[in-house]
Amino acid sequence: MSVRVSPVAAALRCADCRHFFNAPQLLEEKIAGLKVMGSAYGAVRVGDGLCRLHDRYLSADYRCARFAPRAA
Amino acid sequence: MSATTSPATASIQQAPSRPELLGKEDWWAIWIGLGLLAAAVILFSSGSSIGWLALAPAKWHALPQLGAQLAAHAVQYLALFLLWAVILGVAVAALGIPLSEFLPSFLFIYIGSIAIFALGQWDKADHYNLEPPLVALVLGLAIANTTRLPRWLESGFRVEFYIKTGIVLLGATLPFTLILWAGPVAVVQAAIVSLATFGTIFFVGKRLGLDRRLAATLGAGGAICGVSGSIAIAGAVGAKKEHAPIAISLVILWAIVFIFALPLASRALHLPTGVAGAWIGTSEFADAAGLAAAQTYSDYAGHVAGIPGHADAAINAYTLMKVIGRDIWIGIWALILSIVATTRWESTGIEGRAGAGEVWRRFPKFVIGFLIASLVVTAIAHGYDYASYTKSLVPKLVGPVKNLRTWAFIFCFFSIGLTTRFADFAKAGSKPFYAFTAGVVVNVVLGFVLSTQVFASFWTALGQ
Repeated sequence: MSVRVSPVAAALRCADCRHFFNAPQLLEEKIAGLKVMGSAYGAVRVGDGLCRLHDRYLSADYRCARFAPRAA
Repeated sequence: MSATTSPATASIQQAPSRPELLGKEDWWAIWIGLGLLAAAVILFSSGSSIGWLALAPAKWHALPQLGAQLAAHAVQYLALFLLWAVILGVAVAALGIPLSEFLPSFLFIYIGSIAIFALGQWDKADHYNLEPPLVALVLGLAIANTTRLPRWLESGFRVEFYIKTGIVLLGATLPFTLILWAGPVAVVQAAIVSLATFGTIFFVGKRLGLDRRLAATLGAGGAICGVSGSIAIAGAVGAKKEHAPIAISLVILWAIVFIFALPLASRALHLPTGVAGAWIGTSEFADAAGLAAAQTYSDYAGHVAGIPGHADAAINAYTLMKVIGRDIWIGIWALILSIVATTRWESTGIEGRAGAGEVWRRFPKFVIGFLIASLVVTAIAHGYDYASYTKSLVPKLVGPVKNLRTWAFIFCFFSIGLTTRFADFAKAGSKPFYAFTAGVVVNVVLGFVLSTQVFASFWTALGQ
């Protein structure tokens, strides 16, 4: 399935989307076992997080057509 | 799951925007490890030593003897607690972990660690297999799986933070020349095993009908660096929400099995310390679990008849293999798999792919601290002959830093047990289990053959 990304949305990253969350404490609660032999505070995770809309764990630099800006 | 988020909750759901140098535990492990080393070097240069503070329990025979020893050094143990509490406290506060939760939790870890460290110094500890890593793990597992600890108490169970800090300190006891000498062999051996393991898990997973992104997340957990590998690759390929927890559960399951199995198998085969360390570094999955296994084998050396090589060789070979051979390549794996996922695999409705910068962004930065620590102590030791090195540098500088490293490792091993609650893990399902286990078999057998046959003379020489 291919999704057409509008030019405006294409410039906007998941990091700025309200469906995306990547707070380390929250990730360690949501991802079972993460803090046992890993960590959400480590460098290898960079800014990855969970997208509620797509139910995926992904890079904060990714983007999609259904971007929704976070409320100020 | 709701797709809407209130502004109030959104503010606490995003990672705080701090400079990476203050916002990632890798960098804090470097600041703490190198800070402690700098303090040790300054004191050593001024004719003193950090040894008063960096103490370790001495050998003991009977409980009254241990009690007297602990009482005599009570002020030092208190000072050591304050040192760790302050430096770790500053770090966790910067990371956003509430200090009011961390400090009591760390006190719990510290008291437990004194008991574990002291038990390991009992003169009958070897007879009963009471090696500190195993005791820490079993004690932690028993507590975590039989009681329900309050949530706030978990704030101090920072497995990765402690292990990274310990590895930076470990750099101070590993000559840089050894890293240069053994590093390339470690990279070659680890590359062979990593590629074979990843390939096995990925292709068996695909044959079983698993989603490619799950197969890649599982493969990274088995081939690269355990939980860190799985979570990094899950993000790079945009895995489903449940993929990372499945991979993590399997990594932890096998990692815990191997904490016990690899040292015991190596002991039964009387493997030289360097060879066993290389095997553990090739075939264990997570840094913390592997160090527990390598430390256990290191504790066997000198106490169990028939194990050749000096004790440190198991940890040195392990670290070279795991950190230099496997961990530092995570960014390259993430870059390649991100490109493959976005160009070759089914679309997920999400776009974007990693660029070359991914290699640095995902680099496990604590390795830099490990290398700097090694360089510093190697440069200092350069001006000493062997006699003055063992008479002066070891007791006043290297020995105390090694004690601090051991404390960090025990905090880590105890925390592994305390955070491993089997009931909380994701149910992996049979297909992911079979795919991952196929990779485990290849990993262990190939790691064994390369460590004990192909590169055996090399790893044996490391321990002499």
